[in-house]
Amino acid sequence: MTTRQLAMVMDLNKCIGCQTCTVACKTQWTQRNGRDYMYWNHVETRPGDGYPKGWEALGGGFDPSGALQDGAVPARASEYGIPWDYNLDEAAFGAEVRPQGQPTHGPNWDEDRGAGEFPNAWFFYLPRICNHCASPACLAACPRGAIYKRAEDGVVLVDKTRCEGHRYCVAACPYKKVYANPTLGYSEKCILCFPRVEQGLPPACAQQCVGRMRWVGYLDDEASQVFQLVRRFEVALPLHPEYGTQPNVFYVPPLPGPPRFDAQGRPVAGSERIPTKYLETLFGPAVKKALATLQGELARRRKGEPSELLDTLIAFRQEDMFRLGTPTRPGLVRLGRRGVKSVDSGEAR
Amino acid sequence: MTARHLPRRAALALALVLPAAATAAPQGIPPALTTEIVEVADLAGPVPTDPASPAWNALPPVALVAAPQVSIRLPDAQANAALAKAANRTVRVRAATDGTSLGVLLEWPDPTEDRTTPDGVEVFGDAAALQLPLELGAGKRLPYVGMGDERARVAVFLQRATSTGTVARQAIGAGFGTLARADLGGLTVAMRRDPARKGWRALFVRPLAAGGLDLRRGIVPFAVAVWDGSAKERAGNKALTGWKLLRLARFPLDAAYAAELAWGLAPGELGDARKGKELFEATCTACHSAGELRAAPGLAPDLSRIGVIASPAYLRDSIVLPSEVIVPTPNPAQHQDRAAKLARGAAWPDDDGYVWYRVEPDGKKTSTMPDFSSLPKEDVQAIVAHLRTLGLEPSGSGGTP
Repeated sequence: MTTRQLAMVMDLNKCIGCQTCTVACKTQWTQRNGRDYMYWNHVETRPGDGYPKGWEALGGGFDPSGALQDGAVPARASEYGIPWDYNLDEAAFGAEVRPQGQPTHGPNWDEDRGAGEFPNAWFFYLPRICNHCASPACLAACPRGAIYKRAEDGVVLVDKTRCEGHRYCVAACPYKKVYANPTLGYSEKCILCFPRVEQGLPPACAQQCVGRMRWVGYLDDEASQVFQLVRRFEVALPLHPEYGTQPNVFYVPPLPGPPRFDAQGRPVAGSERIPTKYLETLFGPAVKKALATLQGELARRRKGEPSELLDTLIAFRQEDMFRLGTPTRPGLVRLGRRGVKSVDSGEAR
Repeated sequence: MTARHLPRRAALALALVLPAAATAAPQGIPPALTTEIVEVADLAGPVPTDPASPAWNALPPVALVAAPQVSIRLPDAQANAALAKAANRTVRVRAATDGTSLGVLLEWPDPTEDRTTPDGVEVFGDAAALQLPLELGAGKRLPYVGMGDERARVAVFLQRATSTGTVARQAIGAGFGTLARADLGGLTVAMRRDPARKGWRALFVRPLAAGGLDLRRGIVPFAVAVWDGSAKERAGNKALTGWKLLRLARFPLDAAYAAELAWGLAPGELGDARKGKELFEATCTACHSAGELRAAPGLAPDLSRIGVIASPAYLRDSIVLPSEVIVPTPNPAQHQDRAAKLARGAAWPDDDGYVWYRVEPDGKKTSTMPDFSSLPKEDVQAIVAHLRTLGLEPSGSGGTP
């Protein structure tokens, strides 16, 4: 039984789609050996097909009665897209840089699409990792009992000694955040950088985020900003709560943005660039209240009044965003005031 | 044992097969068991390790019915769409021994050749498995045919087609989700396409006695399963046979064991299947699905194809001694208790809903299936007679709708 739950909050108003998180994760965990197509962390653009393509239509999760739903294993070529490389050896001698092969899809493939017509076009970025759900569909689907939630922090992990690569977890995860490794024959997924967490460090995607849009902390720790944003201010919401898995990654929804322009180029008062209706399809009906809270605090701040919520969201000090408790396995590094600082552990580096 | 083999030598050896294919019940075998038996040919030379060896063709195959597994449902939409249309399959079995090794050759139709590949994210390989009880002999109940149960474990030998050959596994199982890799002694496997029959041949060869599993007996129960990768079959999505018997004539027959295994197999022994159907539909289908009658999914095993895979003795035991034949719940988290409050730390409470047994304070497990030992013997036999008819249709009409 899980006793504590580590959670992440992502403020979509602050994500600039730079993919630093994606690279931080990829270089740390998913290079080579059947992992080339895997993105434990990726940033997709909404509206869009996402990664894998059309993942929201691939099923999985639980129905309102609590029964596990069927899902599909995405296809490598059509839904993930076959990873490609570039002709960098030729480009070094003057050739035009070109992808090798004929790419058809990939993470953030549709970044330049968005929705709406100029001057009313709109889009926003949606970074996604495993939601480390309180009721994981992947765990419920595994016929081998190979997936478990760690008691100490609720991190959802695949036991590679039990996994036989049957991929029911891939089908059942409604977020498609479990990946099959066909080379090694087992499933792999975001581990919330638990080896870093055990040393008191936040996950790599969170620490490397240049926009400071990710908070990490325990949901029962009232002193953590995660608790403040999720439980106290209620401005951070799970993605697709209707999937029934109780995600533990929460999103501060994007504000409606600048007003729309009419045919004469005049701003339409009270209009929304990013429709709340669209946000409701992602975050459920609670998004209205969250947006109202955010807009109320913005209005207060414009009048010169203090706002603890906005100060938290601005994240003046990165180290305040992470509250990971006492390291359970202190060792090589810890987070200092200016980021990572080495400490002498007596171990070879 | 080498993979290379001289076919001529094997053919010569097969000429020395001791008993001819049985037409009557072999000595000491209850007549009711004859339909369940695969005669293990007694070879003078080594068991051929090439499934395409002509030596195997010289042996008469026994055709077994394998039913798609529907007792538990696995949450893959594509696999379940294929399963809804799936029909029973025929697996032809041949077996031979040279006194030290046992070879079991499976042959089944499968028009598509499916092999796992290093980048096949959504690709599943065709596969076959041979299952044996880990403990056998008089007084040893046959394990649940779906990978055993807690009190009667099974040995499972599996091979799957890969882009470079086959991958093999040896494992011990005590019910759904419990299969754990184990060293059960030397195992030689090979899978070959059979172009003439548009299907596969899969051969398992292992020592008669190794890894704690001694098969030097007159009869050895076995079951087989096959997987079709193109239908997204893997794990519990497979077609399996019921327990059948290998007859090794060179070893003494345990008559008491044979008599136990024969329970309920003689024609007319079980009683009135029509009466059994009435009793079944009035009582059992509250929790168990069967064909058109659907109970809540996951509440209890789906019995739509139980007649193909379960022996009469097992069906009887599961009615009158349900706590003796406990099968682990496949995955209790498949059904959430939505009425429960989130536990501390915002983790969902243990998903309780549909478990197939309770654990008493003393650790003893009690099946959630009520004990029907108070039923008159004739009623139990009538229900077993009806259950034996479920899933026998040649097409998929006994499957899930």
